[in-house]
Amino acid sequence: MKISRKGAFSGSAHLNETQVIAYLDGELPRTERESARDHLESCWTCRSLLSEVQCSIEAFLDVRMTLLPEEPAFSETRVEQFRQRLSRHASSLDEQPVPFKDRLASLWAHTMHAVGYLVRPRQAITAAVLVVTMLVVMFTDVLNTRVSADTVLARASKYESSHSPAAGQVSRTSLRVERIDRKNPGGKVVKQLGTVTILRDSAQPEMYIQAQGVSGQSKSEIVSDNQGNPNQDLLGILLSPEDEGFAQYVRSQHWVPDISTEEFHRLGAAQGTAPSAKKEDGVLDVSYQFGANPEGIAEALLQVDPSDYAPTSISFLTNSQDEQREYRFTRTAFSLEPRTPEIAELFAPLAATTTTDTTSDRRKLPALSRPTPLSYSQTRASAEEVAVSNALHKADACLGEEIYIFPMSDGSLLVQGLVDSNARREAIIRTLVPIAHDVRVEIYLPREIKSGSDLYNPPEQFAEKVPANLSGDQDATLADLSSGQSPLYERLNQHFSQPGVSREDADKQVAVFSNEVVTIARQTFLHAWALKRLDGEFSTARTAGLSSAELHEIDEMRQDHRRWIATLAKRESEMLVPLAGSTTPLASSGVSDVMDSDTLVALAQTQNELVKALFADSRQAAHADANLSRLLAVARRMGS
Amino acid sequence: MEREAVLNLSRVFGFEQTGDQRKSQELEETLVELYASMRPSLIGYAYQVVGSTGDSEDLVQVAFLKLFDHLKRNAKILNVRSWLYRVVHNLAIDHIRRRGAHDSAVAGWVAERTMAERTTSAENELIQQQKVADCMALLNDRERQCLTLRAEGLSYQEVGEVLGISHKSVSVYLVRGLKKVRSAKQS
Repeated sequence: MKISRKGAFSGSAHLNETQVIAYLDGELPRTERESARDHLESCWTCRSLLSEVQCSIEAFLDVRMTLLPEEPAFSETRVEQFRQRLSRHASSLDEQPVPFKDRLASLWAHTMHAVGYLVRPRQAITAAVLVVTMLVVMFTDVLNTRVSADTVLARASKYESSHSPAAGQVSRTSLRVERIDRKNPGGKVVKQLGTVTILRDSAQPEMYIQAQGVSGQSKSEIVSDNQGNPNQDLLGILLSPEDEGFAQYVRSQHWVPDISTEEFHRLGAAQGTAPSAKKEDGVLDVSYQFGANPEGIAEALLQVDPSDYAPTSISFLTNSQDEQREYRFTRTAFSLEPRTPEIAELFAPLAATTTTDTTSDRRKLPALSRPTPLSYSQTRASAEEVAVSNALHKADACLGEEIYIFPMSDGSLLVQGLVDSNARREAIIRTLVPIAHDVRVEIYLPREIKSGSDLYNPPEQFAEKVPANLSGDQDATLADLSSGQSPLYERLNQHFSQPGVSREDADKQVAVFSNEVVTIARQTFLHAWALKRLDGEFSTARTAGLSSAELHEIDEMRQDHRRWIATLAKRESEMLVPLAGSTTPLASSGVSDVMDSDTLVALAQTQNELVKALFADSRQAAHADANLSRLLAVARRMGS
Repeated sequence: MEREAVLNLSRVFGFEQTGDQRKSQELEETLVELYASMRPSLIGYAYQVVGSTGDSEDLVQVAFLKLFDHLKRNAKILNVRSWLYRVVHNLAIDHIRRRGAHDSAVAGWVAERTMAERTTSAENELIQQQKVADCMALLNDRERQCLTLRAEGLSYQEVGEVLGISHKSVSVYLVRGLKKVRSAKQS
């Protein structure tokens, strides 16, 4: 502030905005405050500035009021709740001994107090950092990712025994079976093979196991826990001829398809190898490395959750020159249930047969009642599915939300997904209620999902999710205007800086414009993606049995997305033309054929990347012109 | 209310500055009183960052638990109010960084749609909401934080301590922020 003498304000020099705000806020030093007050009393210009500032403050307070949460009800209850929380916290502190860290800190403080003046601060800091680093390295396992395999297995086994069914209970475990090809030329391929459900009864050592393939065929058996799997081909229905090596291995080892440490241990013991363990990405991996075995299985791997030592998955890895495969069994659910008469009946054939009965694998076992999702390729679309899809379409749930329709093995439909708020969930459920009675709706909020097990994987075609650059953190939902440095900033500014328009107004228009371009590009992509989903869900093979009215309904949904894409793309190109200069003609390039959804998705993705490069990323300024004309071309192609 | 809260701080200071081991219970009582009086302002601030009342309430409580730990260790706090705002600020920023990837992915889209869905509300209200949205979109994070903290009655020095910037910068952000608010209002 340029005030060198008393009364500087009372002369011709007016107050600037900073001084006015500081004056209002009582942040001016005393002498300046007095001069400012004197000046304000005599100067209309500055008084009017002051009232303008006052108005802006009021405007901000108004805006803020609308954004504040409503006065939380039951504040007394909240205070009481806090009182209890604090008291619990305090008593838990009292029980703990003074942490070593604090004792060290206090010792350090005493030492520094005694000799502090002898050392310069920089040396002291260096020494402190060194000491702390050494302590960390010596007393913790920061640098050590190796853990003892035996300890992990022992703890996992303890976890299992503490989770075994009590009297009158059965445990139900669900496993997902996948084959992962790592050496596929087109990149890693994950194929769902099916599911396995295991019931363990407290009353007997046998287990009821049901394997179900992706196409719905299933097979059940009762196997004995302590003798391995005698019937050998339970997994047969999940595996295809190309999995022969693994199938042979399972048969030769009599492996029971369950994630159990005991079974895992047995596999390793059979090969005479010792387990090794390591911690990677927050998961404990215990593995048995096998030498050469005839079936080509190189490794068995048990994954354990380090927080509670729950075994979570078991994998078998093959490793030969031309392929590297993993057969993974992941636990998707575990529950303890009462032993109901229906469940008891599953075990009943066992009680009826004698031990001499060697045709046990021929026994007809009742099937489990819980349905599982089927893949699109194995089912046909029903009229109901079209109606549900249309309802979701009308609720915009097809645009970027993780909601899928699953045809189930019992012929019903399941609508399952994840949404952001309860209000949104209610809205979706409301649209589905009038449709049909045989639709189950399971929509979760993120906080309700305890593990990945609650949600089924999307039906096959969409295993590849929305590309990362549209769903991840780098998502450009808003143009990056904070720096004012997007590659097109100068040009936009020129465009909006007409005579009579203030700098701030121009800035604001630039902001609104940029945000609109980004939003349009994003919405175009979501519509293209929804179109692609419709193509997968209602492919010609799946819609073969539908009536013409239902086909028409599907077609309407498709047309709806296409219309949106065209409208949005037209709007985008209209907005961009003035920026690119008038050299390029507005007419479309003559492409009039209907593009398929893959092309549209690819175009929309390109459009998004270009928009991001132009409006949200200041590093690509050099290519601004080229990018802009490419963007325009893409938008026109989609708008045609 | 606000004044009382500030006055109560002297009792908290008394605890840590005399250094005597008063009973933990007494400190608890003081903190509960302080919590009751400062709760609305701190929750208001946290809410603007995290956007959920439940989470805000929790963050503010955690900040007070930290304050309790701090005072029990006889650590020095020069200004309890700006200390609390700073801790709440940092907790809130951590919270939104940690929030699941899914949240951030769909949140933008949902926000757009909820704006679009509000066509039923009265036209005036809609215009008002649009103005609010415009105004807030123009402010950058720092400007919004400075204005909000100043509106909570913190001095430039205190705002600077909360955000880890100098009081001169605070003054600059306030001027810029108010300019933007004015331009949004005039348009």
